[in-house]
Amino acid sequence: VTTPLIDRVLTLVDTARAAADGQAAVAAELDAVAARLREPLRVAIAGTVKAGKSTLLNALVGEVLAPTDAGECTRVVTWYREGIGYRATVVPAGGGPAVPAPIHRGDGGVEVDLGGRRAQDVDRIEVEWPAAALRTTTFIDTPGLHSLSGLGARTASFLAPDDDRPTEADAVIYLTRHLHGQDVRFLEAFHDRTGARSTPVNAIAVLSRADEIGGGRPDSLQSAARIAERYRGDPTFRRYCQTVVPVAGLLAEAAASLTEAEYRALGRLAQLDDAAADALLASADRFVDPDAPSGLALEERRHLLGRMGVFGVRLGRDLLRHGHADNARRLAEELRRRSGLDELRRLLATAFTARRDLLKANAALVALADILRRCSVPGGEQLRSELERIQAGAHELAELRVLTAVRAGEVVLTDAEVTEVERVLGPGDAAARAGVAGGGDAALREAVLDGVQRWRSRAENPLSSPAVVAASQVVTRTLESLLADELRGGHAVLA
Amino acid sequence: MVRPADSLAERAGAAVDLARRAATAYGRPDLVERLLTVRARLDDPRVRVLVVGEFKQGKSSLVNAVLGLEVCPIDDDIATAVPTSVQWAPDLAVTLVGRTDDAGSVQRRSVPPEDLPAWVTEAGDARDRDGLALVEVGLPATLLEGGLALVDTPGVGGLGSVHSAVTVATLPLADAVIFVSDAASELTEPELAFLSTVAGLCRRVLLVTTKTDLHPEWRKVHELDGIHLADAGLDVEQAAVSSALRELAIESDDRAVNAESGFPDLIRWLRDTVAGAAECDDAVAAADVVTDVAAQLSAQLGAERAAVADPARAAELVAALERAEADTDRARLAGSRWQQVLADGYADASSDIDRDLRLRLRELAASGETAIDALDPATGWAEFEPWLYQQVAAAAAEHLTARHGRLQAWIDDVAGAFGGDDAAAGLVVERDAAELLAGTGRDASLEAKRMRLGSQVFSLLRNSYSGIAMFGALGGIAGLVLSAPATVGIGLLLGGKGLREEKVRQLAQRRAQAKVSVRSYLEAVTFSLTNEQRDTLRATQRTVRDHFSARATEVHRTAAAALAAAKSAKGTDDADRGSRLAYLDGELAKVAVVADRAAALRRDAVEAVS
Repeated sequence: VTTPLIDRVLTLVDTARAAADGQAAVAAELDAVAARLREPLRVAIAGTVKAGKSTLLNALVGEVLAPTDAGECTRVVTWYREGIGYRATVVPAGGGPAVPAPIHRGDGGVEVDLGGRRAQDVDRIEVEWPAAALRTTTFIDTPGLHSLSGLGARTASFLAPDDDRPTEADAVIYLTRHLHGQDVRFLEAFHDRTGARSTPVNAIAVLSRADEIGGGRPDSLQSAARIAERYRGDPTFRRYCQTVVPVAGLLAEAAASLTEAEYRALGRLAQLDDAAADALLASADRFVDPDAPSGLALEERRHLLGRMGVFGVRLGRDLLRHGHADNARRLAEELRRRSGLDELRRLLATAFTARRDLLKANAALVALADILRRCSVPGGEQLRSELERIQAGAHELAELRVLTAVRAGEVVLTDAEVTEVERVLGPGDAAARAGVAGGGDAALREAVLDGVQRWRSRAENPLSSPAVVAASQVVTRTLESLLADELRGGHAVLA
Repeated sequence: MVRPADSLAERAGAAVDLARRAATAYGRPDLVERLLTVRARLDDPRVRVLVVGEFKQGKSSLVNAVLGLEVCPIDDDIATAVPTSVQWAPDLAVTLVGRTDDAGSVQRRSVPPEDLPAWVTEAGDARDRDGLALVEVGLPATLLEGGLALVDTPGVGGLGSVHSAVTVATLPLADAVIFVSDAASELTEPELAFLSTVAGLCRRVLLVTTKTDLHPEWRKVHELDGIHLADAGLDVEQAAVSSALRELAIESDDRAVNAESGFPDLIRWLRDTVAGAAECDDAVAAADVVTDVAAQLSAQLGAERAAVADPARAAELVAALERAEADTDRARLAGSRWQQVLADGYADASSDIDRDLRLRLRELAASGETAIDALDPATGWAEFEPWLYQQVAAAAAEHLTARHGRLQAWIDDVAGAFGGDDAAAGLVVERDAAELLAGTGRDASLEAKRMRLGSQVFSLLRNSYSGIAMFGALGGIAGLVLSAPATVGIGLLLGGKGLREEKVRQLAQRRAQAKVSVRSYLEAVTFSLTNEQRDTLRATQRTVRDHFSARATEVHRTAAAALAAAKSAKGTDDADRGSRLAYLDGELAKVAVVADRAAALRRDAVEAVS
């Protein structure tokens, strides 16, 4: 039985660390690489200013942590890690020790006191928070790109450092309101085939603020789903992102932390007849008009509007009126499902979390290669050749490269073959990857044997280009291992 | 007597009609012709308002909501791809307007109104849109009756689009621009950059915050945008609207909702500020023509009066007028100074504009090559391509802005030469006559007159330009095509020592191919812009030449008529002199009334606009 990739990488990093014992600076860098290998996956949330990054972060964590505002709000790259207690530290720009910073938690999230420092003078804020969602993932909130304050430049340099060093994030969720030239330019800048930065494997795009598409009409979310579907097929997007999903962030945030009082307030709105409700909800201003007949106090209405937006209030009321939810928990579930958050979470679990070790190992190898290139470490030559052995030998990494090359259109395959490669090398269990989900062992075996035969002959075809041969070999081997894993050592089946 | 209730347009119309009657009475059909042209413009004003902004910000919805009709196709996903001009027509009609072809003509074709979405949105086949510059939608909407045309434009930020450059090119021709940005977010950096270009090229710009129904914090966004505008030193007005509320208001016929939608204010701005200002501009232009006509008529009458009043100096006067007649005759001919300035200016402007374009694109080619040297086209091409498009669009926009300034300088030069030397002869006729008529002379300041000459021509150009040429010029550039498929084997990517040299060689080859592609693309851009520029320069030259030739002919006729009148007056009997003088004084007083009215109109129009 072979040693798992992540353990081989860990051993290699530890060996390098031991060798560098005498060199404080190199040792510190290697310590950071080792620590990063062992800690939860780091997922950065990036996108244009006001794309809804902080709102989505709150929805994913299930608590209102990141403050949000009508104007530009996130001004510093902020890490949210799991902690035993509640605390924040400020890391000054240009080096220097991290300093503890006082925090204040209000309704609008965790406010960190920068102690008189300007946003430009702070490299990042680290917030430690005891939240279940942070156990497997560290989320990184970033300032919006293209803002007039110019703070978006910090995000760009965080995710795509100028000096070609590997980025500190393991994966990225990129938020966009529309597929836009600027978004693509950012994704390009961040994109990198070595896996040090974003690849179509570790980046997901979110069509954010989905509830506002089409002016918040009842079918906005369906419309958003259609647009996301189209983007998924767009070659430009495919090069940079694994997939695109629509998420109504505000709705998701509200659903993730819906209170009983909010549920009751929506219940009272549901008692209004439709004509009265339509008039009341025709606009945000109308809804919070002090004289509007609504059955709710002005403060309650303001609170609801701030929490859910016009679309959320309309949807919540409709769900209650048509009996889709009879308690706060059910309503929260309905809202969350419709917001697209469940789908995004599922995607994060399969695409990122399930590949955690692979993403971590790959990032560590890139970081280690960078350190070994820049610094002289005793036994460096040996370390480098071991690193190359791992990089060339690990089948997982070969899969990653094939997937990236296929998505970038560098391997000339038919559309059906591309779909099959993405499925086989993609996330999911053996049956799903073989394309026979729920079909049982026999179906799995048949599908895999058929696939192995086809890809083998593709690899052996003298007319296949070297790229196609290499890809076919990787796919063949993956298919074989699928069957082997599933049948627990059943290699004989293939003989 | 002018009643205060009369609008500037009505007063301008009346002044033109009065001048026309006078010109008819004194036998000047050429002046009558010119006045008729002015009258036609007053009767059929065109006020072009461009609606611009990033895409999916609600531009088409805004146009529809202004009109209260579903004209422009709206879709959650599909964006507008072709500029759509919505203007008045007695019946609903959709006309496709092609780009100017090589022969300089423009193809127009009517299509069934229900086909509109297929032509103007990205849903249609892009190949069908090839060659399409503009789609005109005519419909009988009350708001458009005054000549207002709302032009819905494609968003400026689309993927690899050159729309922004096209939009910039049309800006100097627009009477006003509505810049649309939704209330979801304050202005972004690219938006503000575009907005400042817009504000630099168009006098009246309105920043409209849309979708206020959906965003509870729209007031804050609106306020932040105001701060950004002030920080950037931009003179831009602001409004906030909700197209959804406007639709609801129209459906339910609810005035309160309508007021909340913000559209009444926007419509008021269009009608009062924009259309009102256009009306003022037209009135000023009309007043200038009437003033000019009155001056020529009074020169003609004044020469005769001077000869009748002082027979002793009649011979001297006739000699002066003979010289003026000869000078003005020369001004009409090809060798005159203004004609030389026009011809030289054409060559100078043409080479300046060419150089500007070449410099910009050369710089771009250089930075493109640097960028290619830093990447592997096999993997980086898809990243490089949109970057190049963006750079080309930006360079083209800057170039067109510079070109606009250069054309204006050229026109000013010609106007200066015309007012300075050649036609000065004609102007001298007026002035001499005025001097001779000591006491009745008006303040015919030569300088003021010269200054007006240039602006007259420019407004003439603006009005004659359809703006189509501009919309069409850049749309025709084909995309960038990589000259050879740049794919690379995985085997190579995986590395291997034996392959290293081959890898290096192939990379160099790929880069060379990429550079060739970029160069040929930039050549296509240069070719397209140069073609369009040649057309624009020719059209400008033609307009300027026609205008000043007509003016030169007019002053020559004035000089000739003055000479004839002075000659015939020499023979006037003493007995008839008294009655003839009384008659001429009466006629001069009438012409002075026309001139005074034009002066008052101009004063009021200038005051109204400021």
